[in-house]
Amino acid sequence: MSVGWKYGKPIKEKLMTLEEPGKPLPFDADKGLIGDITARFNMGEIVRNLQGKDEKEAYRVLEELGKEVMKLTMELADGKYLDRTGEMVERVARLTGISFPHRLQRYVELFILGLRPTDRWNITKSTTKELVLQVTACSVQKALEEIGIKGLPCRGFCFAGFYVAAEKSGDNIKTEMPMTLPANGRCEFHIRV
Amino acid sequence: MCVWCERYADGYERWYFNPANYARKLYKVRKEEAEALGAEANPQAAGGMALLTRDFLEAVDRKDYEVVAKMRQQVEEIAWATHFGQVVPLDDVLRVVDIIYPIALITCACRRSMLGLPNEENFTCIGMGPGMYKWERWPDTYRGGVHFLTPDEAKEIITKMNKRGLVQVLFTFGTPYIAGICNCDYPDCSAIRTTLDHGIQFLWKGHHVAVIDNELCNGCASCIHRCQFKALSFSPTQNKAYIDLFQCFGCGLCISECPQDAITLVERAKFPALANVW
Repeated sequence: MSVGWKYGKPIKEKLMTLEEPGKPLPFDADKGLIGDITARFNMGEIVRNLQGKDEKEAYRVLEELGKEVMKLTMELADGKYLDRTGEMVERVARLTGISFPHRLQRYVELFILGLRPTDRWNITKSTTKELVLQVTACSVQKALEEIGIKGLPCRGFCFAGFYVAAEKSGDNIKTEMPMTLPANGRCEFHIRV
Repeated sequence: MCVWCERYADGYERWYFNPANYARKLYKVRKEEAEALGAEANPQAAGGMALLTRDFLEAVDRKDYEVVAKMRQQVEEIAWATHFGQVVPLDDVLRVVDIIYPIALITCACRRSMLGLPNEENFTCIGMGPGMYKWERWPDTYRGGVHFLTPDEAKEIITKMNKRGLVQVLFTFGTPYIAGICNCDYPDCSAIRTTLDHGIQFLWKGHHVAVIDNELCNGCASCIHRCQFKALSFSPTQNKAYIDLFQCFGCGLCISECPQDAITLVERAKFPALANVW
């Protein structure tokens, strides 16, 4: 169906204008969200408690942790620390009927920032079909390495978090991890719908 | 292959087909203090054509070619790092629409300043990518508001603008991040003006050139008015349209106007003399 645009003219039913001109809006992640998440989950202690456990057991513990961290992240991101970026992502998704990638991407980013604010990561693909996340420095992986746990069980943490977020965003995702730390220099997650 | 493909295509056919050049984080951690200039500033307002000052024009007037060359180089270096455009034919733009999201119809900053067009007559520009979620951060740039579009709606609007005679240009906002599909014409577009009138390369030529088949051209000259780059002219001697290939930006606008289908887009690289003319 045609959008009904006439050259140069606004499309009245689609036009979005400033709601409160001059009012500063919070677009970035709130430090409070990081404070609340790190206060609830002590990653250092959790990893230390994994000492002596095998990879499988560590995976299971981290998987459960990933679910819990993502649940709290989403609760805070959509409640106490709701920001304007999040509001606009939701609004645009309703207008266009397109949820992926940004409704999910938003939770994934805050999931990383919330518990691991000093990690190094980037989004290298963000289309309506695929989201690619690269993590080049991960504090969880480093902590596991330091206590001698091999095999990257922390992938359970990330995967579980992504799937919990996708459940909320309503995206039927498939996730692959073609590159892993430390061997490939980065963990790379390919999330497709 | 242009220098941007060499640097940023990463295996894709062209740099602007590489989805990495449209991807960006949604978040960083909020700072307590006011946002500083630089990466956080509005690149459209901070860079680009605003770099061309009166000093440059005065140096041109007094024929101080040394100063002109120096200033031109300085301006181009900043523009290429922050905010410049490359002409892209319609088919390529429609492919790009499938790898970008979100997409928004917004007012054109050039037509606002060059023509003084009011917002309600000026919705001719497309902004795209995660930055669009933060459009309220730069109310001066997004005067008049925004419309978020589906990819199909965006394709319909861009095709309409192309049919009307506007050239599609992809613009960077912190190279190689591409966040704008401008729909340009001369003299409204400040990038075309500074490129053609002042020889400062804010606008890069596309990967094609338009070539006329003289056997098919009937000399109707209906294509001539479509060219925004002064590359097309009419040869009374030959009674044919003539394209200066060194001046052609490869937008393809002339093709859609030719009733004889006498014009085609050919890869720039197929002409050794043009391979490095950007």
